[in-house]
Amino acid sequence: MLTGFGVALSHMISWHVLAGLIVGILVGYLVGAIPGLTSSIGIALMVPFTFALSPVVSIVMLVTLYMATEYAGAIPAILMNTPGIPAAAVTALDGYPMRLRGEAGTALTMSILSAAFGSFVSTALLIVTSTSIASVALAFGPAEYFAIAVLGLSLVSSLSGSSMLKGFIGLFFGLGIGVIGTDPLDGVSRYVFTDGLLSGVTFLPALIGLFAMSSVFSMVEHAAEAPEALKSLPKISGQFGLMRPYLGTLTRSTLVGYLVSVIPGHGAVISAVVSYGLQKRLSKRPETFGHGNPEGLVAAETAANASVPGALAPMLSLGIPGSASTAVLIGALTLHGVQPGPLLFDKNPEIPFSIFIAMAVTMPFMVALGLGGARLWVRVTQVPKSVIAGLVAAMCMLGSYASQNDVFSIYITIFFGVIGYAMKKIHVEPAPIVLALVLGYLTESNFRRALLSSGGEYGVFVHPVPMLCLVAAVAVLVMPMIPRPGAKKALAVS
Amino acid sequence: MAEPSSAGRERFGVASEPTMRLSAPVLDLIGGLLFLATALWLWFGAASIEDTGQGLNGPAGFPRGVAILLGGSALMLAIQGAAALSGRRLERPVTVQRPMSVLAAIMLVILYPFLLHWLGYYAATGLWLLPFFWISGCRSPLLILGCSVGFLVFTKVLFETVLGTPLP
Repeated sequence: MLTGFGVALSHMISWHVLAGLIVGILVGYLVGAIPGLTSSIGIALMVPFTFALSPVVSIVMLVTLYMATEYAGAIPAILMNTPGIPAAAVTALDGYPMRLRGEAGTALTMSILSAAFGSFVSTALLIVTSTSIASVALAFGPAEYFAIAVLGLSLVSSLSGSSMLKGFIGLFFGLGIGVIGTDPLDGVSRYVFTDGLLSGVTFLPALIGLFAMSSVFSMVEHAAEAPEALKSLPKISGQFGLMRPYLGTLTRSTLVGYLVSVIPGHGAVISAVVSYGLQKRLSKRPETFGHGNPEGLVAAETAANASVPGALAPMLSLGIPGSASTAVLIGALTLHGVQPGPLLFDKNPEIPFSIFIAMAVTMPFMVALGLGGARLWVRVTQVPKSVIAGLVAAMCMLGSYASQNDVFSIYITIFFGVIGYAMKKIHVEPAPIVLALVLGYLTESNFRRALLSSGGEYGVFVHPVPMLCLVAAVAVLVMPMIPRPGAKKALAVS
Repeated sequence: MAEPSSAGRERFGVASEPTMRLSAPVLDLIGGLLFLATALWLWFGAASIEDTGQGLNGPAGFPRGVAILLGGSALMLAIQGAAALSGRRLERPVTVQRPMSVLAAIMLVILYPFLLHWLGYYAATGLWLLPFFWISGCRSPLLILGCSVGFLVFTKVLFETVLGTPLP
């Protein structure tokens, strides 16, 4: 492990990495503060700008963007009751009532310090667990990788939105799109009706279309809605003593956030909801939750931010995404010629260890920006949707073109943008499609390799590790269907 | 299908436009049939994939499997939509606010690659952004011009100066 850190440090001691880190944080704050833009959209839009950069600088920039977005969503949630990202809705439950009581500065200070604690401790857990899981996974063959890919695909259940059936449709549609191009084993062309599709549907333009371009059309649709007016902007300061009474909440919420998000598909929202519900149950004043109890704010914000390193654990050690954002990160790494998974720690140790170092180093910058810049970030929410829509649309076109240096990729972005918008209207979410695009190749190629190596015997999938993964996949599929009374109660408070 | 709504009021400098309301079951039915068509395309397209004599483990096996799964799910969605329609259950309609603007935005987006091909990046993007901001609801000529020029300067600096990547 020490060697890994040494290799990473040798790659990281340059102004490029520091610049990447700062740009990542700034863009992340910007994206997080704008309601409607999520970390997945931010990462997808940013990837094309990383092509000229080294993989280490790129991944540092993208991971810090991810972290900063997950925190910054809390700023408009507390000040305007408008969550910048979905997980911040739980923060708003107590953050906004605190602001109405005139304690906005305290709420913002507590949120950034909770986020910093959750993220920092969770990063330490990530370092320990991901290296251990990866060393075990090194012994895996195609059957195990197939089962792991199926486990990854099973997180469709938690990315489906309101309808599981529509989630499955999105997943199968994505798998169908993924088979276009050259077959992974025999090199045979499949469904190639134009030369542009010879190498398949290129991932990044499809991603930009599904997430960013489709949200442009939604912004055009809602351009008439004026943003919530700002009343007064609070001053916040680094009063670290504020957090002393909440040390137990911080520790508990960090553990909850990390452990929940390690399970693929259980990202920031579920972490925040579970942590909030647990804290309410343990609190001496549960009746004040939802009315501005700082415990609720601390529990939600700590868990949501602890979930970022948690979601990175399956991505780094097994190559399967823990959330929609990490699915996009996998795509970004693949475009840089880096394949996430257990071999990553041997082949490209500078990547995972750079991520670990960046996550730890980012924290002081994030706290400084959070404490000093909240007044600025909240002003971002006042930018009209009409302006954001135009700029994001232009960024989509530019990013898509730059990703391949080919106009055909713009056609792919437009196709997926229109399809993504139409699908959202019938409640088919884009995340399962992205999941399929990321894992489809891995699933098919390893399934066929496993059968080839076993001489066509399906018994190869009945060995302990594949069986365990396949059973876990079924469990991950079924779990979201089981009602969580605690979570319902927690959200009902609002 | 289209009727005036509160969202259509003159607000935030954006012109009024009626909101389009669409029946959710009808959309489910149409969506289900379109996905079913995609599944059929996958299934019949698999017949033209070169057979390497490996049967299910060959290059056409996985697409066929996906076609069956997608077709089955799509059929269920279509049936759900049809059942909801025939049962006349009350379903919340799917609304599209500012439908003409959304349609115009989609048309403009489709036009962009052609403009790029004919005019090159800077002229095409400049010409394209002006109406796009307008369609998005931006009504200040100064803001539209400022954002368009600002974006072009940003891309020029970033791509040609910092990244060293020329744009078409």
